[in-house]
Amino acid sequence: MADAPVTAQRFAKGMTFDEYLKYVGSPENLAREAFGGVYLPDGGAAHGGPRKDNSPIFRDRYAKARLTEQQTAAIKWLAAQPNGPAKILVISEDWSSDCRRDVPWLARLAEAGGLELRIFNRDGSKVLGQRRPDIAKYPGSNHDLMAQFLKKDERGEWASLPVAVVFAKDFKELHRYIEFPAIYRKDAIRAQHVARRAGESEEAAKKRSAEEFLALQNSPFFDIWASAGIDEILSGVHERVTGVPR
Amino acid sequence: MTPERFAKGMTFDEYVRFTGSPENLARPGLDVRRGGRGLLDRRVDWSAYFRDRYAKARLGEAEVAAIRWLAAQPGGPAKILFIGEDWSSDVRRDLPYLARLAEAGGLELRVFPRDGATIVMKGLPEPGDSANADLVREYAHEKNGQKFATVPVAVFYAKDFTELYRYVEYPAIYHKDRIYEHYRSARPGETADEGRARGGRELGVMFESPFYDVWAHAAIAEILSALHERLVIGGHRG
Repeated sequence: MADAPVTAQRFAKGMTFDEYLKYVGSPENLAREAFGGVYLPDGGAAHGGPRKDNSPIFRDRYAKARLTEQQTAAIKWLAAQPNGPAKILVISEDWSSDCRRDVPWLARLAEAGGLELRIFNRDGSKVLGQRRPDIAKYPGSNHDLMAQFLKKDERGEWASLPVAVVFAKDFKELHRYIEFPAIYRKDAIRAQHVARRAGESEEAAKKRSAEEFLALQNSPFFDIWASAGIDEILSGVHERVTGVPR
Repeated sequence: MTPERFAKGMTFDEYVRFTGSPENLARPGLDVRRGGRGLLDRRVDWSAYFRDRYAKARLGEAEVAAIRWLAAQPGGPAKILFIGEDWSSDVRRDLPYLARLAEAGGLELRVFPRDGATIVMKGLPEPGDSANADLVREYAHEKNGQKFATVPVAVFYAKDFTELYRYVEYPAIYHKDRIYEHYRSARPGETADEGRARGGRELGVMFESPFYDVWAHAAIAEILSALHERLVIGGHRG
């Protein structure tokens, strides 16, 4: 798949945050397959499952999301610089806790800085069942965009969510944020959740793990990490705009 | 760490008063904003600055809720040991926020100056060099196989002084070494000294910018996240 740069025309096809909120609860979205709660053995892909309406969570998180005074001042300062940030492209799926955590805060960041935010689904009607996007195999998806912004680490590359790419007015990329802030060691925390306790059945462990993860999502730490995601983006864009070599 | 040793540190209020005292101001200091090596025979009085930053430092609702939740857990954080020097921009950035964090969570904060009558410019102090050389050596920052007397160091303990987490110098998202090098490098037409002098002034502006507080909050988030991980999954961060 060719890695074409993001164009103004392609960017304009994304949804505004308000449009995305409406879309998340729409029959069209709810008819699409979601993450079924089980990862395939390669760790980068998921089994499909039914989608639930997550729009109230997005609305509630957006209503409660508050940038600090300094985050607001920082994004305004950055946006006012020559070649400062002007646009944020987000790739999201509402079944992802990381997307539910970050997308409402990204909407607040865009508002505060006067940046244009456009949100794209990753998938079409079927959830991505492999590590790498493939638009021919998954029609109706935005895998062409996803392929440009894969997460990369020692385990390889995969189509992780959310993706937030900050661009200057001319679509020069300034920073990309993927999945979660570095301080949220999700893999270690989730491994602890899913590990079976002594004397626990597989079924009981699964139920407890799901409850623990839900409790975490409703704890103050979820907002700590949302805000840390914003700090990470602001700091990255600051380095880029002030010319600090990478 | 023992309760007796910990109790010898200063509260935040006591430390701020100390920074403006003749005793402290007579000690040599550093000021990166002045270019060169920034060495000063006498210190700048930062006490008013500390008071102002503390007055303006605001934790968010989630930060307050998180430290309260952590402090209420069995084996949760109860004490913070802070090693610092007022000439350090990292200390001036983080200490007022740590004082707010300690207040919000009901944690005891004690501040220990790093240096004695001279500044530790390289490596570690010898035992007995200064009143807190024992702590500086104990909580030395190890980087690339070498030990440094980096400031600030904030060590979080449970009630029984079990160490839960150690925060050192700055949050990971603040790439200070690269930023300093960039600001202080000579631009075309500048001598090296001119570059450092201009860079020093620009860093002074950066310390007054919103990014300074963005990094202060990032440090608090890093600490809260690490304490959460320690209490929930029990491990040390790699």
